Amino acid sequence: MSRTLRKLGAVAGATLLALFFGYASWQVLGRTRQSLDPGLKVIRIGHYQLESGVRGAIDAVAAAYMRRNPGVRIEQLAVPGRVYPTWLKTQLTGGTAPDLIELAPALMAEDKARYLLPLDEYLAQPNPYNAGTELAGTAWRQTFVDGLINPPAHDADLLQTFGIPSSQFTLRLFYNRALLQEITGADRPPADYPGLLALFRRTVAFSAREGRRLYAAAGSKQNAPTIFYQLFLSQTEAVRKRFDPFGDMQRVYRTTDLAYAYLRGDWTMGSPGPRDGWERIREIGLFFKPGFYQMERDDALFDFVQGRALMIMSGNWDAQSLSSQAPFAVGAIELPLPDARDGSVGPISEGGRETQACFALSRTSAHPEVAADFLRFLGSMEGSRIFAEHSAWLPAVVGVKPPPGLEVFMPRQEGRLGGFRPYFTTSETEPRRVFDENLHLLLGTQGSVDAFLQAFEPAYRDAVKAALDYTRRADRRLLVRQDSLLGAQWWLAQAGQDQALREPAARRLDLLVEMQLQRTSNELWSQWQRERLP
Amino acid sequence: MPRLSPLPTACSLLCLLLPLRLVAGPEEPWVDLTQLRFREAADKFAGQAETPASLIGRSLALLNRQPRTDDNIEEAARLLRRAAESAGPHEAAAAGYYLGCISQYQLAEPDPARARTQFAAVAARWPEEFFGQLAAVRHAALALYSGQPDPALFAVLTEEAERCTDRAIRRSYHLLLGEAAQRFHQGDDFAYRHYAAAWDLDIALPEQRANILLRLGRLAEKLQRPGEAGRHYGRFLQENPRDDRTSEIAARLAALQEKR
Repeated sequence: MSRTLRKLGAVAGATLLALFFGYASWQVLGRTRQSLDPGLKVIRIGHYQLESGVRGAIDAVAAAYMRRNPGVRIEQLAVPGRVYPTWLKTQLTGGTAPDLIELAPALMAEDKARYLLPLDEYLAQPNPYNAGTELAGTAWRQTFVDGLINPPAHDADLLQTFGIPSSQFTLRLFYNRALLQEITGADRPPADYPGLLALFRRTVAFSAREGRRLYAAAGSKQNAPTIFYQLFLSQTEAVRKRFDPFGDMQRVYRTTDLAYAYLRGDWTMGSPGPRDGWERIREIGLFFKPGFYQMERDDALFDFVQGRALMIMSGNWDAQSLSSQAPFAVGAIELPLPDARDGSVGPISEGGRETQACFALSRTSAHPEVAADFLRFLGSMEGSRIFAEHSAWLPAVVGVKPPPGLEVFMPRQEGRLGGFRPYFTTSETEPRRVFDENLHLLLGTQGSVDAFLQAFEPAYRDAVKAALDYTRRADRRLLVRQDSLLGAQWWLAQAGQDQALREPAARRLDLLVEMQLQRTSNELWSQWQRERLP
Repeated sequence: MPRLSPLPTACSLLCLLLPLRLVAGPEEPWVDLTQLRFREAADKFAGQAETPASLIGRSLALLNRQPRTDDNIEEAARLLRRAAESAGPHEAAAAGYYLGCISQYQLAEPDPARARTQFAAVAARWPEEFFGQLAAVRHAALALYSGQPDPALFAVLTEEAERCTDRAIRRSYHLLLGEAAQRFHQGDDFAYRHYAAAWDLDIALPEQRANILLRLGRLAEKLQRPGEAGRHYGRFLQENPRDDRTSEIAARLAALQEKR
């Protein structure tokens, strides 16, 4: 009996093996046959978006495109985010990159210039897939909510656009509806800051009363700072305005004037405004799970979906994952912000945000014209709508409505400008290190704003100085490179014999002259201020 | 399903594929430079017949070729000096300009004073040339930010800006003077006139366009010209409907209109 069973097992095993082998061979042969089919053009897309729904969204856009173009097949390669930068560099260097790739922060200007095709000339034309819509006749670039002037789509050093975005991201405070109802009896959290604080206190009291281990907010070293930034921004507008040299209210993160004013002692981290920011951070930070700054993003998300935290701050990219993983209904609100003593009140505008999840065209694509055409479909009103519906991400194209239920995630246009983040220099590494090292003095139960500032401020001054020096060195390296780039464009535009290269070179030269002389002036002004520091 | 109109589609595809086209001949290493392929460009320029242009091209590639070494920088300077000896005005101005750039940023110990002298000489000798005018702005920037500029310097530089014939350079010259005027408190009217002159020359960078409109609006307000301020703010709102500054500017515009 046992022998017969063993025999049957062996036969079944061999049969299964043969079946799998046959299936695998069929797949491989099928692919080979298709790739040899001269009538079929295969476009591959490499990306690192493994969130639920996004792969399905790319498939849906691809299916709609393939219905219009029967001779094209779109395939996607989803690569985990941790290995994506290495994988991408290897593929690009080896000349085996997919036709379309998602732009990753690790890609430097050199990589883009060398391996990707700029899309500027293309973006200057209307997108034919927008024909018959409100965007018909509009230059494709202007159909995106940010006009593609921001990274990652646009490279500010090369002054060229390489990426077509598929979405835009915002941060929201997600909450556990069932738990909220249990604690307060209400279905929605309060919309103002004092109400939020009261809710957090009530959650702590509820936890103690019920003997349940609950926290008001799930935190990690990735998501907690996003709340801290917002709170600090809400309190520092007056200081930012005071050191706005031209009064044009540029986003302060990229300016150095505020930093030099700080180093001159014109303001300190204990001045009214910044000090209020630290107080608000301590106020809220005490409600996070102890030790949250040692936790990873996934730990915080796990705490939330396990029902151990009432709220979590995260991006809209997590909305679908949270809803599908949590055994309770999930809601989302904008983070209510405290009023500032300078009189600035209400929410901060989220206008002008960068579009994200950008796809670029590889120079080694066998069918660049088809790949580009697919990008045009993805970046059209229809493509954007399909993508948003299936991914539950926000559309990046003007006029495309978000799918029902996602309205709360759309960037808020109206609102005040806000001030600056706790670390505000272009180079963040050193200031952030000092911030991280001293945060326990602010957020510990025995901590205080005074204890924090006493330790933080002296180290922070050195960090700001180091960050400014680093930025100046980087700017100089960039100026040297841009000088060569400018010379090359002038030669192609003015002295070159090739007519086809002249016009695009002349357009880029126009931009380069303006950018280069602007940067030179900023660099010299930075040096001027540096030399006069006490 | 939208029907694709064949002509624009073909044109835009053609534009897109231009960079794909194999560029051969004297332009090829210049294209390499625009794609930051400095090593390839240096090799290709070295393989070309020696002309002032190929010498300048090679030096531009050498200045960025990795690893950056003092030898490469010295070699680039030597090539530029050789190019200048036998060159026509275009190349001579370019060679002189890039020698100034080397002094300003490339040397292990940058020498801004030498760069300033070099730029001034190029600007004086080739005032009609693109690189001569570029050198003039670089010289002006060094002069403005080397100490406390006085009104006389601003007046001289303003005259020089007016003489620039290259539109992009003149625009940047006015921007330089407008910003320096604000930083060194040379008067709102002076700054306004320079920004307005730059604006009339079509600001190229989109972020810069938005910023200049707001600077013009703000300065016009300070100068008690509410009509002009309103016009600039209105234009900003029209051109940048999704900027994060729109609420603030809309409020200012409304306040201006109420006053009037």
